[in-house]
Amino acid sequence: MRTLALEAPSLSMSLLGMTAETALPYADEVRRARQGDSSAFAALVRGLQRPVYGLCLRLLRSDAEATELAQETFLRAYQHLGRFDETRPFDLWVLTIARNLCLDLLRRRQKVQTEDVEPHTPTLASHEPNSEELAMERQQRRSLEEAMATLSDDDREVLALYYVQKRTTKEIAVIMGVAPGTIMARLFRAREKLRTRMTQPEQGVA
Amino acid sequence: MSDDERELARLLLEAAADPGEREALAEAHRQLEKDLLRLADPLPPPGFVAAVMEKVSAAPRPVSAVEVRSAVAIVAVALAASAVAFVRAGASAEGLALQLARALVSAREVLVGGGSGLAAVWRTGGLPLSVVLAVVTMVTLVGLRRLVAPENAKVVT
Repeated sequence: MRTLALEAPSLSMSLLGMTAETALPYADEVRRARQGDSSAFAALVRGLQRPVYGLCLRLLRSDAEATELAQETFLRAYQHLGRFDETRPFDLWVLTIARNLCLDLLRRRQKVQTEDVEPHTPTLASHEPNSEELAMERQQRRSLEEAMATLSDDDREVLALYYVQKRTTKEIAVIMGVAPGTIMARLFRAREKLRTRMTQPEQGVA
Repeated sequence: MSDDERELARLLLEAAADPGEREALAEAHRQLEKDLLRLADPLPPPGFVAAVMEKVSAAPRPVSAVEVRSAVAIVAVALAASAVAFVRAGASAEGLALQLARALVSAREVLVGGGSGLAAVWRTGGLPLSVVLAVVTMVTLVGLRRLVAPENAKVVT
């Protein structure tokens, strides 16, 4: 069978399929930013703010922390721009930084284990026009977001990267630092858990 | 059939042995994928880019790999020159001190000679010399500024 997701367009090109002649996304901005052009770096931030913030928000489930970490991600990227390998896609590099920062924070959170931590489900902004006809669809989307929020960090991450950010399995493997062959299985398991949560919502919140 | 599709077929087979059950599961996943693909990342709060750029401008300028390599090369050349000087001085502290003292005396002679030359030039053509020095300084400063921050150089015309 062929899944819809396999036909989904990719925002950036597959790492393995990349050749030296292929133009990498953001290559010009990165080159100018490395030469000290701050307006080029601002263009990079504008171009990547949404996927970076989105990934942080889905992993951390806190608006304030996601904003803070997304900003920190870009600051780290700027500070280490000199070490960035220009033959690799810049967006994947930045997403990897964001992911690592989020995982560090999640690990620290687990260590602290404060009593007042409650599951927080931020309302992810809908960008649809405000119409009555779309109310049902918005409600379904909200239910899906809420069910997704009950999944583990790994499951949320892989679903967000594949379906929301439309990344390929190879790109996700680069960001997550795992073998590309494992991504399909992770996606399947995450979908299965999500499906179960949505059909049995009372068992959803663990 | 791609590797991903083969892997998916294997996972479905593993999850549901019965063909009917497997088809129902596949359909449920297809439906879920449709819904998932409609989700979008939210935009960060207003002022996000400005806040990032504020932090970036406050942070020290990143050092490029070329700059690091240049710095390492300069330090290596300086160390090599020191080692050569040490060996030429007989590989002893006394010899090195003697050579340094000789170099200081020579430098003093060069400075005195240069100063006398400049004084003579100043006496004969002070104004042209001032103009030439001012132009050279300006050109050097503009060049350095362009080298350090090209985007700022556009503002200074």
